[in-house]
Amino acid sequence: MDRRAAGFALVEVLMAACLVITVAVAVSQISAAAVRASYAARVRTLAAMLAAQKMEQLRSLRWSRTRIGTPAVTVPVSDVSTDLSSDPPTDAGPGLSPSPAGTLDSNVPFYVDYLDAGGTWVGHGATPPGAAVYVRRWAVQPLDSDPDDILVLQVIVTTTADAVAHQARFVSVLTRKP
Amino acid sequence: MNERSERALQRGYVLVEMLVSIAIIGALLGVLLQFAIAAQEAVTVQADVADLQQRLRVAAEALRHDLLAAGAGGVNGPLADAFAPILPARTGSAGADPELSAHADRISITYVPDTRSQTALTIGMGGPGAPLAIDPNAPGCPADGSCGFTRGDRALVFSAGAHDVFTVADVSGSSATISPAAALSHTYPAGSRVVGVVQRVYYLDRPGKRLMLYDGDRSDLPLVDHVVDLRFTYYVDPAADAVRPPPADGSSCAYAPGTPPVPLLDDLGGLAPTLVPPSRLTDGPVCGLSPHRFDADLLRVRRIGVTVRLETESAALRGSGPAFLTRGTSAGGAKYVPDLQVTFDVAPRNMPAFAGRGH
Repeated sequence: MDRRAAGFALVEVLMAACLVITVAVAVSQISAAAVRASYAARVRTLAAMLAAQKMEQLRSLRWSRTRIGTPAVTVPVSDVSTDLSSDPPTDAGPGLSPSPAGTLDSNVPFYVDYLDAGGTWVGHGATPPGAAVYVRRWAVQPLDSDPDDILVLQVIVTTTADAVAHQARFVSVLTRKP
Repeated sequence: MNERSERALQRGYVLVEMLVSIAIIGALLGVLLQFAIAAQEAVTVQADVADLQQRLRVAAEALRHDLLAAGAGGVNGPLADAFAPILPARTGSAGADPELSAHADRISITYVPDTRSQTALTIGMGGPGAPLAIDPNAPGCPADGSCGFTRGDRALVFSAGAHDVFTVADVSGSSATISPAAALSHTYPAGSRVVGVVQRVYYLDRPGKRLMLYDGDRSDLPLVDHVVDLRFTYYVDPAADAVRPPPADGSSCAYAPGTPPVPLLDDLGGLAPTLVPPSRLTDGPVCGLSPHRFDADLLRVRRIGVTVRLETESAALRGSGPAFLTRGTSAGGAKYVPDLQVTFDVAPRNMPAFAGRGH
């Protein structure tokens, strides 16, 4: 009877230890989830900032009107030559001319650039370089009701850094100012 | 005898059993401790990482908000017609940088908030420090006799190239005057515009590692702690005639007289906003009147690049090497949180764009 009781105590201790370990491992899973969540938050914050950055670059291109000649007539002035996929931008691109279809879904040159984990520009073109973590694509579409003066700008930033796909999507309307 | 030997046997067995269980528990505890230490480190670090990201968002949002608004709320034309709404220096009544200076880690932003305090001087000032006699019945003014101005407001007065931003020290509704807290730089004539404005000066307190926000008057407070770097870069419209041209046959700080007026600014080539070094923001042509003169290039700013770098609050999480601007005591492992640096761009919505090279 005494012997059996002693043997039972050993099993009990082992079971208790196993329970404690299981709980501890579960708890450490929670902190691992916290680490992942905070990393995801960082990736999303950066993705949103990068999307906003391209949007601001698009919005800073010339899209205005000017008066020329005598008598003066008002003509639109549009930047249709800047290549924003290069850093710094060059003068060999499409500017604010309407983008071809599908620039948000695939890597179309002049409408995509690539950034590393810190958000630094690392390349452009159809194929992402090895260091690319963020893929930034954009589209320029004239608004149907006023195609000459109003543009719909869209920027999408996706990341390949994680199994979970993160995405930031910005839409903005650019109106030609008088 | 029999009983005794049985007890001895029993006792020995319990001792061995205890040793075995101690060994097992010890081994298990060892494993457990490793998990516990790793988890504890991760949890400690997470608080700092979240704080780092939160501080970044606060800094970026504040700067973005004010940069977007720069130059907004023009009265009888954009603010940029009166002066430069964005300056690469500290302005305000205390500790202002000298005119025509440029610092990469300072920026002054001015805009007109959603205010109805927009009026003009009815009679010329009696002297630079004299009260300003304003029209209390200008279109849009609240009917309080002082066009909505209250003590402590920041106000802008401008006329023919000269401008001053001042704090309203006193308001008299009966005589429709507002008194500046300090003497202005000029004696403004009748008809000068007077507008309530918001002034924001962001700068880096490098020794204190803080992003500071100064309101141009008395409030000069830290906005975000542990900011180790702050840089503003300026992208300007490359066209020489990107600044508002003067009337035909006229001239301005950016145009020499001629028909049509001849631009004084350099043509930087291309169409896209072009990055210019800080030196270009001080080298002229010069606009405005002393002591508030500014470089004409600031009138063609189309985009501002902002780089912010933050570090963790705790030195125990910072190591050495290029990932850290300020060395910490971390030797690596889980307690290693590199500085967080981001660059974002803002295209101010209210810097008027004039088509260049279309003339």
